[in-house]
Amino acid sequence: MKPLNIEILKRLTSNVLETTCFLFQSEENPAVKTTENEVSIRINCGTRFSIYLIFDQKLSTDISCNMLGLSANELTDEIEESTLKEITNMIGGNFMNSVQMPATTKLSLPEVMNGGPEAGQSRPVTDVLSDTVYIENRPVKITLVEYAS
Amino acid sequence: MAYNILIVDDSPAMRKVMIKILKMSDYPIGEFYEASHGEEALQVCGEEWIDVILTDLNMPVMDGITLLEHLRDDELLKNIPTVVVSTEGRPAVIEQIRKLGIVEYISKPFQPELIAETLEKLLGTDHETIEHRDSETLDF
Repeated sequence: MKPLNIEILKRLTSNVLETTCFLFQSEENPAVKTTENEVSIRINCGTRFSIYLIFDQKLSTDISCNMLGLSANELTDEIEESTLKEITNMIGGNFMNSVQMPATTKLSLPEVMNGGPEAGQSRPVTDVLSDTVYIENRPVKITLVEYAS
Repeated sequence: MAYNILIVDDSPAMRKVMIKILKMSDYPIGEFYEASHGEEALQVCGEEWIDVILTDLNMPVMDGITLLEHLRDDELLKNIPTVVVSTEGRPAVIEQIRKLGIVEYISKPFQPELIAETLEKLLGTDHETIEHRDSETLDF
């Protein structure tokens, strides 16, 4: 699998969060303490790829607040999950456009994953690429899994 | 004239975002209606007066393409102006929705002002009856 694909995902993640939530890519800042809680969302690009995005909880809250124009205490778990799923949907859809996947390839509905990319793998995996992009000094871990055809 | 708008998207967050954006614009809005998929959208269209539809493509139960086909085939609904709001950018799919008569398309993620600008373009700033648009005027 091309390492370029993970660079595409990093760029798309940054672009989507900047455009929809006014949250900007930054460098890693060791001084920023990341929360232990994470939210993992998976989306499938046909049967060939799965994209996992793992959001730091604080960043997840910021994404939802900014996108919806709400304060943190107005958020519900349901709407926060819906926001992250929509962000993942935008990234997944634009990834399919960027790598020019066939028009017959369908994007799955995003789903919350307990346990991240390692959990629940039932199909043979041919490659896994991972990287992290920092948004407002908080990590978004990106994993791209390619499956055997 | 105030327009009744139907927003069709399986994401509650995206529906909220579009409603928020339109409320913040100066665009004359009557009522907002929401649907989480194409089947719900058709039900709403059958029960309420809808002036414009904003629809995603990738949805469960009934996707956006199927919704557009149903709208096209319904004598009462076929002239409702419809904007596709989607991540989809693959040429074959864009061609498919163009052939279904869609002339305005917004790609996600989008700048907030683009929603109202697209409605103005589609419906006119004088709120006149929509002219039939030739597919050659497609600009996305």
